[in-house]
Amino acid sequence: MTNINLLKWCKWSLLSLVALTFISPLLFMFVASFKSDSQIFSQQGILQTFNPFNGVGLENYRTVFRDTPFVNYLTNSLIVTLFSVVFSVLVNSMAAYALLRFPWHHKHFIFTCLLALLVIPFEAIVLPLVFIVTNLPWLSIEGGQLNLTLSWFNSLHVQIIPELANPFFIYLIYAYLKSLPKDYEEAALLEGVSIWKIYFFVVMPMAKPVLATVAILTFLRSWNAYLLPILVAQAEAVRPLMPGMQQFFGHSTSWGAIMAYATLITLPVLGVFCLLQKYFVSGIQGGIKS
Amino acid sequence: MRNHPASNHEFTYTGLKNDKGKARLLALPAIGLLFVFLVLPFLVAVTTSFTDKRLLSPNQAEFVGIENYARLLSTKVLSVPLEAKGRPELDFSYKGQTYSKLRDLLRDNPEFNGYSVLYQFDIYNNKRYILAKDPLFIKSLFNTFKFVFMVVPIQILLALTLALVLNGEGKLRLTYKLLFFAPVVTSMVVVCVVWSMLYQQQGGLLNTALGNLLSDYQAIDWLRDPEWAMFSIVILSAWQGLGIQMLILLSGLKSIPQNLYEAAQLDGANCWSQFRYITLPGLKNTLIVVILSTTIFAFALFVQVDVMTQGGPQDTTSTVLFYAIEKGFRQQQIAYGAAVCIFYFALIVSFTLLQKRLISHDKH
Repeated sequence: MTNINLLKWCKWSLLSLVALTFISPLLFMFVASFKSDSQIFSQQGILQTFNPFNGVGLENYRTVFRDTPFVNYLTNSLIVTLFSVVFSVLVNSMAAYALLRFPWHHKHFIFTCLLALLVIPFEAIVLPLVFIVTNLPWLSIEGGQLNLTLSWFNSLHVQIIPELANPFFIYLIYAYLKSLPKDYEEAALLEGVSIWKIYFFVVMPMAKPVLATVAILTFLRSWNAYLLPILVAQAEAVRPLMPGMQQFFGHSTSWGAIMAYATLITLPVLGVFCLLQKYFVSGIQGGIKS
Repeated sequence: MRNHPASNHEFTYTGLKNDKGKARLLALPAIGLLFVFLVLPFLVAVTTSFTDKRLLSPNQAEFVGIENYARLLSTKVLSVPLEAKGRPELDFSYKGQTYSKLRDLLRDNPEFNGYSVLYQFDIYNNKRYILAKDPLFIKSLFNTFKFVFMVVPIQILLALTLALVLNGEGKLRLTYKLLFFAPVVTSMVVVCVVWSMLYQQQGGLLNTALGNLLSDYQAIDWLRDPEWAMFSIVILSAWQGLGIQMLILLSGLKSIPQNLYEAAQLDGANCWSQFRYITLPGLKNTLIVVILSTTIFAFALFVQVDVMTQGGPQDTTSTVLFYAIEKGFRQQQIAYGAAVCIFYFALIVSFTLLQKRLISHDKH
């Protein structure tokens, strides 16, 4: 028996070593954000290297807030992510619901088209997408006046709207809704409840798990958005966090400050991830498998 | 009366005045958005790829047929004998003419119009030159395949090992699964920046660690050495993404009936034969899905290159997508960039079809 225990103990300590090595880049990002460059590249020994308290304290974080419009980038990312998540859930689930519960001519054909669209990778259409969004009109209200602009270039909405509708999300929600009974909805219809009320108060609560999946996948995509914003949101006023990070990486000479920026934009996501890990895991599993 | 199986999920009676209109209204936002931001760009990409459109060009775009695609893919092999007499390293003889420079040879022979050298090697007393109209694209294509063929096996083998070790319930296992999954939720830009620091030649964590482990280790400049740059990107990409593959493989392992293992143990099967005859066949479909989704994902390599190397050193990390953005956006050759994108699309579609074939083949 002791032999088996010893073997187990060996296995888990080896695994712990592997896991620590694996996660060390993220740990190093965190500790390096508290150090000056000479400390990052010259501290010898594991204990010194990974000790966050022998450095320059919060100096690097001060540099980030002083030298970059970090708060501005953060606000942009928060707005883009929030709107993307809310509207992606709404738009895709509405379409899935309409396709599932109502009779459509050529329903089979519509579905075939949706599935065919799945094959088109975003990267393959991003160049013409840039061309299209720079030629779209947009109405906004500025100082009480209606304002018409003829391009979506350098705006926040150009980072939200193009990626909202997603054939894969529609398919995912459709498949989930299929497993739900329609009795409640039909009972509500007989009572004369409007279809919108049914959708918001009957269907959406029942579909919570799949909507959480869609919300999380959209959250990750919007928060980490890089390709689209570097093409269509180049102005500093509308730039989100990730292109801001790349910009700062290109211009700054202080690794410590760069790591402080990286830590600031990574820790919130890792925090949310730890809290909601169940949904993240099932969400991403569902996201790839189907 | 409808007999279509899908109609089981439809309302039989809605009592709504205009239920078709309501249905259209619900689906309209998604369908409209999909059309404007997915179908339309795709159609624009296909049509512009057959023109010579450029951004900010005074000339109207003209239809040029498949010229863009021809330019992308044209390659030729030129074979020049190494002359026994004279100056063998310097002279190039071709069709009875002798040239002192390869550039002159290419200029004076119309069949080589527009070509430049991609690669050269000597074989059987001949100098062989591989020529291409767009050497950088061919290089990028080659680099992309190189990346795919390195990252897919590394990532999947590591993910499979982890999945086998961590398969099962328990708090400790869950903690480890989350640890290995953490890089997946970290932004690729952040990952690139952090690894750029680790890859520093002087004092970077990787070189320091290797220097401590190996006695006579020469510090490698990982991202600026043409020999190592792509491999460095492979390592960080595998590190970032393997959590996803691990999770999918874990769910595949879960679906293998436990009693198969029990029966095998009763028969005295060892670990290896249990793996070989139960686990591997049970994982087959999951593995196919994982391999092909990883492959398709790997073809989209862009962020790492854009943040860390900009295609360098010596174009060894330029990829198809990076090249498309360079040409189509930064150099504003829209039509040519679109052709690269459509080529990339065709590549992805062929892999998707391959996946469908492999899986349906398996069912028989």
